[in-house]
Formats: sequence, C-alpha cells, structure tokens
Amino acid sequence: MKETQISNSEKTFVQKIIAGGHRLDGRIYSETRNLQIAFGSDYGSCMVSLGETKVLAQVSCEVVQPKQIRPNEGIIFINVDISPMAAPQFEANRQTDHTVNLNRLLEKCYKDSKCIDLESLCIVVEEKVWSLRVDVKILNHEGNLIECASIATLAALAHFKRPDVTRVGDKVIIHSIAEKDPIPTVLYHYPVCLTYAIFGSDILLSDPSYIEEAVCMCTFEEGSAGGGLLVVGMNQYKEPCLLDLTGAAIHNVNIVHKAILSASEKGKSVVDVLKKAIISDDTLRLKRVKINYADIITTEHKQSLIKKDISICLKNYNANDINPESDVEMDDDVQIVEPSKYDVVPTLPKTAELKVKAEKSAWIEISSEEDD
Amino acid sequence: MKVKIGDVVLPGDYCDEITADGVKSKVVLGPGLRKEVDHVYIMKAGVLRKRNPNTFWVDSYQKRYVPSRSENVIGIVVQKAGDLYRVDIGGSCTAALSYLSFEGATKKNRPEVQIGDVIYAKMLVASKDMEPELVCVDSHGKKGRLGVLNDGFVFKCSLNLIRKILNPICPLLESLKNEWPFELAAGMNGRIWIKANTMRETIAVGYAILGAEYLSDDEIKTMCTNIASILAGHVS
Repeated sequence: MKETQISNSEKTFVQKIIAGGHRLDGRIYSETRNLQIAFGSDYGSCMVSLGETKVLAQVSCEVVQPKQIRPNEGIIFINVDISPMAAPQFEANRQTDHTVNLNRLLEKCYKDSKCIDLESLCIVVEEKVWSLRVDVKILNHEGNLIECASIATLAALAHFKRPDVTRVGDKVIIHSIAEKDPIPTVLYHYPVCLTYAIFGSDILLSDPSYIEEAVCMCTFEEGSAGGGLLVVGMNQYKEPCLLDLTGAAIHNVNIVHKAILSASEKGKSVVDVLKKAIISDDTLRLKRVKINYADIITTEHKQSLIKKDISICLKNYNANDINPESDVEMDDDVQIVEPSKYDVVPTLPKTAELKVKAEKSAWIEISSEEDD
Repeated sequence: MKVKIGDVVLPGDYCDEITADGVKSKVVLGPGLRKEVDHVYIMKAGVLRKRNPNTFWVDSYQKRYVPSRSENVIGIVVQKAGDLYRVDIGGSCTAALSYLSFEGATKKNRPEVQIGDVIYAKMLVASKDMEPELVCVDSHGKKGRLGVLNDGFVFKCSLNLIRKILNPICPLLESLKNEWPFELAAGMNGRIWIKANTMRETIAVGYAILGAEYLSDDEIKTMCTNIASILAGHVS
C-alpha cells in the first residue's frame, strides 16, 4: 500500500505552528515523548516505546568461526525488520531504503563506534567466537524510529547475558544458565542515536513525530529553506559517535553545534534511565520475580485504546485533567473569548454553516473625531 | 453461539431474533451481518444493535474506510491523470474525481485543484469491484459545501468517532460552537478538517474532538468548558 500523502493544509499548518514556537502535540522544541523500557523473560529481550512508537529488540548468540582478518574478535550482526504491522505502507519481507538506512545507522552506532568489547566474545582464537545477533522489530511507527530502535538495541545488548564457557584441553563446554551464571556483555560506553528535525534555518525539534518528520522532509517549490533530519549519536560521556543528515543541506553553521550540545544532555539522561531500568530488572530477577511482557502488554493495550497521548494537544493540557481544578499553565497571550456571536445553522443535509447571531451588537460606534 | 440484541458479538455468532423478525416482515441487515441459508451470521466483532422496526447492525471499532454510496468524505488529491483526479480517501484504493464534476466546470474551464489539496466530496459510485468515484456537486449541479478546503488542518480519527460527533444527540459540537467560532468538515472516512481564527483555537478544536472519543456526554461538556477556559486564560 502506498504511503498516504501529506496534504498541503497539514504541511502549512505544521510549518506555521512550529514557526510560531509551538508543536502540534503541545511539547516544546526540546521535549521528547515519554520513554518506557520493558524487559522480557529472556536475557536480551526488550521492548522500548517512545510515545506511540514501539520497537522490540532481541539479542541471541551462537558459536561461529571468526573472520580471517580478525581471528580473536567476536561478531555482531544487526538486523532490522519493518513489517506492515508498523505502518500500512511497509511491505513484508522487502528491503526498502528506509530499512537499509535504519540498519546502517544502527550498525554505525554500535559496530563502528566499538562500544562492545568484541575480544571478550572470543572462545578459541581462529576457531570459535560468539556471534551476537540483534533482531530489531518495529511494532508501531509513529515517528522517530531511529531513536527508538537505537535505545531498544542498546537496552537489549546491555541486558543480554551469554552462557559461560570452560575449556578442558581441546574441548569447549558451554554451560546452561542453570549450571553456571551467564556473563553479561561488556560495553565500554553506551551510545544512543538522537534525532532532530530541522525546520527553516535555525529551528531544531527533538524527537519529531510522524507528521513532523514528513513535513520537514518534503521539498518545497517555493524558495523556502528545506529541512532535514539530523541524527546525532551520543554516549554517556558526552562524546559524539555518529552524525547523519538526510534531507536538505544545512545553511546555518551553529545548528549542528546546537544539536550536539542538546544531544549530549539528552543522551546522558537516556542512558541513566536505561541503566536504572537494567539494575531494577536485575534485582527483581535475583528475587526470582517472574518478568515478562504479559503485564505491560495488557496495560499498553488499554492505553492504545484510550490513547493517553493524543497527537494534537494544547500545551500542558492533559486528557486526564477533566476536573476544572487542574493547574494548567498558559503559554500564550491571554485571549478573552467573547460570548459567541455565531450560531451553527444546519443548511444542507449533513452540513452546517456558521452564522452571525441575529442579535444587536453590544458595541456602540463613537466617532473619535469630535470637534472641540 | 446464539446471541441477542445488545450483546457483545464475535464473527461466526448467529442471531435467531433477526430470522424470526424476517419471517414477519422484511429486515434490513446493516454492516457486520450476513444472511446464510439458515441463520443470520455476524461478521464483525462488536455490539449487536437494533433500530425499530427492523434494522440491525453491528457496532464495531474500525479505522479503515470501506467506501459506501452517498457518504461525504475528505480526500487528498494525489495525482492528476488526464481528465481525472486521483483522490486518497483512506480506502483500499484511490477514488476518481472527474474535473467536470465541479460547479461550473467545462472542458475549457478547469477547476483549480493542485496535488495535495484537501477535497470534501460525495461518494457517487462505491461498488466493491470498481474504483470508487467522487463528485463535488449535488444533483442540481450546485457545489453546496463540497469542493476544495483551503488552509485549516486535517487529522485522522476512527470511523466511530466521526459517527459519534455527527450524531445529533452528541453534545460535543453543540457545546464547542458556543465557546469560539470555527469551521469543521467531517468525512465519513475518518478524516476531519478544522479551521479557526488562530492556530491555538484550531488545535483546541482538534484536541476536543479526539479527546471526546471515550467520554460520556457530561464529561464532554466539562471538557469543552475546560478547554474554553484555558483558551480564555481564566485558569492560571
């Protein structure tokens, strides 16, 4: 199925509202959506949701022969799968530019940044090494797949534990989890990809939603400055690991600098959340609490029906604040709504018209040019 | 399984009440019901409803639009093909809109429609084997409310929500219209076009509509006054 085109009115509306300093879902420019990390019953299985975008990652391992040029290093392989479940425009079992791009970005971020200690994955030099395979499955696409997928990949890798191995002479014994405690993967640093949508020449939106991504990527015939998506890979030590730009070229020199500064703060906070989640998961596992997706799937399911974050929202207004006592902050100039002067009058079947109420205007016109 | 009116039903269930009514008089089977040899079977998950004297249907949650004749829909022009516009209406395939089916359009005088424009149109042909066809005029050749919608904002929602807000007993539009002026076009294909004086008011309308999906009538009224007071700045 073809991707639904963004209409002109949506485009102009989103552009105008962003130029006005707001966003469609009431966030500020640098605000991200709600991040949730949940772990499955197995080691290395995790589901990350960023607002309504959901990604499942699963790490598995097997023993293989190492590459000729790197005989003492393990192998890591990342596979991204986007199915029609994520959004109807994707086709099953077909590599598209989107999938390849996402795969390549994740490889750049986790393989090329050398965050994983590959040498520790070696069992017998030139004969046997562990090969880690990360399967990333997109469950729902609501914008910013890259950031969500990268957090999921990192969480799955950090959570993963491989079986312990002992060597007796030439023989290699792989112990089951019951026999010996499994070994966690060694990560030197925790890089995450953070996405920024560039609007105009100097507006940076973090964590763009689906419509914001679509609007900033579309080209304009009029000479207005095109936008693009800037992906910044950042680890918890505030070191950039990856920089990727899709869309129009950047005119402004400062924008990349600004993005990296903001990403360094955000990257650290994401890694902190992730580490906390892994530690709490570990303590729960030590207490032999059963952990699986069962409980989050039921609550998530309920949420997807009630839809906690409505894609169109006033700033700081929450769907649950139905009671009038809610403390909602104002961000705009104060507007005074006059009692309605309009009436909706049914005209044709199924349609209605706005009509000025047939009341006399309360305003009295006074000429200001009075003679002295 | 045998079910009654008002039950939660699943595909494969059957209802004998409908068959019994069918013996006495003609019955109308709405969406989600199908007559087989011996029973009337349910084809969708939802709640079985009846309107007197003899109309039955299944009230189910749905987001994918299935075209049906004489419904007003909102579409986006995706292609100009000869004397046709192809309009995306959110169905399984695009709908055709002839450039002659606008008010005052002739072969010489083409309407001004660009790719990406939002169109409010009526479904003329909706056969399951053919491409759906739209028109932007009524049977008198007048455009009425149909045609290109300029500016504003379009968003998607479930088909149930559209039916809910267009229902005359729903208080949503009634209470919203008293708070601030806005224009609204609701397409039965789950798209709503809104336009108000300011961006903030437009967003407020959109939010009120999307938020009303799972609220009761009284809650809708409170929500509308709340949003209005936020807009007016009474709540600090």
